[in-house]
Amino acid sequence: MNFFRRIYSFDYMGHKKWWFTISAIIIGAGLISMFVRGGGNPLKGLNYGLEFKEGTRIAVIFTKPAALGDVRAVVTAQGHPDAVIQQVTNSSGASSFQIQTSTLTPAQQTSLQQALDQRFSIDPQGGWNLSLVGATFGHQVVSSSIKAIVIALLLILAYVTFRFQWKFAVGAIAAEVHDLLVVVGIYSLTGREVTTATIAAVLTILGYSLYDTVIVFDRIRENQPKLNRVPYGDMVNVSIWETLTRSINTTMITLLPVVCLLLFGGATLKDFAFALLVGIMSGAYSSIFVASPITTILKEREPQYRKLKLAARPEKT
Amino acid sequence: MAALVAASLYFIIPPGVKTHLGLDLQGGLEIVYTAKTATGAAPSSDQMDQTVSILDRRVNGLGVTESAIQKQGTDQISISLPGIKNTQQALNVIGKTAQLEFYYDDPQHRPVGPVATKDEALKQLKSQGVPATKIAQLAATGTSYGAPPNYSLVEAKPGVFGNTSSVWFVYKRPPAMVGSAISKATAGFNSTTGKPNVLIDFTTAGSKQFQDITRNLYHTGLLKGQPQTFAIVLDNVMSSDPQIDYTDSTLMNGISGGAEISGGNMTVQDSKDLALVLNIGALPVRLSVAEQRSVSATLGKDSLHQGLIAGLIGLGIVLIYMLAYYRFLGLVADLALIVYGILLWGLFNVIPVTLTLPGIAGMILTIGVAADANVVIFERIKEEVRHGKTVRSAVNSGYARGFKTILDANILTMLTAAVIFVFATAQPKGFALTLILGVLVSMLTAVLFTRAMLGVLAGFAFFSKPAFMGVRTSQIEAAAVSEGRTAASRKRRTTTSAAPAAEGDAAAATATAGAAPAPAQNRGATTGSRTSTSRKKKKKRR
Repeated sequence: MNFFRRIYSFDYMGHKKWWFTISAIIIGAGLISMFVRGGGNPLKGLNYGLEFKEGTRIAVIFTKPAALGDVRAVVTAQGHPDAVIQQVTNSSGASSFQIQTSTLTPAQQTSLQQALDQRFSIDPQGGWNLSLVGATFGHQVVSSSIKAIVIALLLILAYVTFRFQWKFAVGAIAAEVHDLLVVVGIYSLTGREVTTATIAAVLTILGYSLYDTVIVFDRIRENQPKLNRVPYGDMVNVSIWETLTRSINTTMITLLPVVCLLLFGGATLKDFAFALLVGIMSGAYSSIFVASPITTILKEREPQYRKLKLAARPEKT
Repeated sequence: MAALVAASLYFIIPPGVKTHLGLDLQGGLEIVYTAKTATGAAPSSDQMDQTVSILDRRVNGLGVTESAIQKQGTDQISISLPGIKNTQQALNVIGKTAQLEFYYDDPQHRPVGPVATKDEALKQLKSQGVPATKIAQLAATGTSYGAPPNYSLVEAKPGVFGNTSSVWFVYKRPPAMVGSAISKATAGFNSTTGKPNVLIDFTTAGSKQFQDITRNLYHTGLLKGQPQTFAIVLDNVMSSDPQIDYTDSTLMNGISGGAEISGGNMTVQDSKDLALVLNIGALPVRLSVAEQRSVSATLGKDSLHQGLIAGLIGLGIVLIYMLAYYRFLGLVADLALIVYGILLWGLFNVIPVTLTLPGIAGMILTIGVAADANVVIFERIKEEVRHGKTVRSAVNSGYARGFKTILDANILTMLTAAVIFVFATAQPKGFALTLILGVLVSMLTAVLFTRAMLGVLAGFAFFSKPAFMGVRTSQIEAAAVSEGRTAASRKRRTTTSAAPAAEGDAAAATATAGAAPAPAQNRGATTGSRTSTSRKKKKKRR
């Protein structure tokens, strides 16, 4: 069977249950993972980055060879026995380490820097990168982002209702929430670190996924009066077929640079790219397999479309 | 359009010089302070404005050129100092409250001290009958507040008055004199010891206050037959404890000129920094570091290179993809994309937007949005051609209908981005701004460039052949037939088998691929002659 031909004639709306099942499995797995990892509290089931924990993180590069144990000994001698120290392998092969401690005062920072410098001699060309985070910062980013998401969703609801109809708005919002849950779930499943970069990416995904959904909705809106004598689901199918080439091309075009970021970007960019990758794929999927079916279900309850659907049914068998 | 591109190029060239790089790309220091009043309460908005202006002057005094100081919410201030090297010095200068106070050292004004620890000082004060609430305030902020009498806990670091280790005092408020009495502070050296110091000059009123203090001390010393001292305290740390020599009768009327702050082991840099903050004045609030991030210049440069390389490779692949898929129209799209890139970059430099890592990621994402504008329009045009329209009218109506679609989608994207920009903080904000600008420029490019290009091309004879867009005459008919049949076969459309109308759509869609070697009777004939493009799709859809 020619797959390529099939996707342009496939009955997407007739297989709603399958799409909902696939989404439910992915989201369900993510939610279970969040519950299990978080010990009952799903919000704790994510691997939060330093921005969410109070403390100091130092990325240090030494010019002399250094073993993890030796570095730990120096850090402990400085009065930070609970520091988390990781050796970081980088391309140049230099010995670089990531040290994470409780919040250090400027004096403590200086003394630690001097102690390490004496022992392993810190690379003077940018071998010392220190970040310090208070307990509130990460939470502020999260709470302000959640506020932004809620307000954005309300505005989307209003705009789509105004330009289309509330039934479309419900589909669009469902797709948005779907994408959010998928990304969060995947982050919990893979145990990837959630940073403020991740949150920025998630917010962008909201915008992107919506863009994709509106393109399909726009076609549905256009086809509605033209194909007003076929069951609503079939009309939606036609709309999806007609926009499918665009959907595939646009998704490819957007994914290609993102994959490049994932392959060639630095650590922060990789962070973005991963969240974007998951989000864009989920966004492309949800436009066709979540937003459209939900809107179809709602529309098919309208008397005129219910009649059309019933009329079409006997022929189906 | 050409003018816009030229203008953008003017603002881009030479590259790298005119672009404002963020801290993460350039290296530097970023600090977020949380402000509280001396009593631990939330600062008023006046106090915040005042703080920002003082911080601004301090940062300028450090000689950082592209600093940015912003209020964040109601009680936070973020400062970014790109390119700064000595982060420790910057932290010392910027975050200092710089509250300078002068106290008498007699037991009436200094109820406790010197003692070896802070706890001991508080314990002794408590034994003198000071209420527990005041003690708790002192322990927390170093200064008690509320109904008088109030106190300040002061530390004297080694060497201030010959002490070998830190000692603690409690002084009774209010101080005899405060920092507002200073007219000028100058870094210099003590003429006898040769150690760095800061000389302070007083205002007229301050000079009189200082004269009163020193005269009082002279006379008390004379009475008691013992030299008297007073303390100069900066942010609850004693910086000097000068003595008034009662045997020197020239001091009978007090000292009017100025004073000297020498501190314990002040370095030349310390004295310069102190003079700087004293000249600018004290902060009305106390700052604590909520977040601090320093990025070395090398790390920044690496990130920038990686980002640019990733971005360019990504852009390159997109250009090839468009060209391979849309052939001649792809060339139009590629040109549009390049124009888009130039305009966006130019706009970034003109505003100027500070380019950060999230910004780069946002820009790369907008490549997709910008290319999509063309994809949507082209797909529409091809559809119109397949429906039997001439290329020229297909370009017109396809463009108009495609643009309408993009408009709704883009408005919504911008709406979301705007909400994020307004409500989110930190990195999400930078991302949102890039997205807003990207969408705006992509719309502009679609209106000004793609439209114009298509208009011009439609005028050429060679362009009016449908084949030029990968649409074959047979497909036009097939599509037209299927379109005509759609109405008749609507009820026959089923979920499982390929009804004629559905198949017609499939054929039309295959034609869209352009690269497909579609035979004249393309219905059902595509099997076995898949193109590489279709195979790519197959993989993806699964």
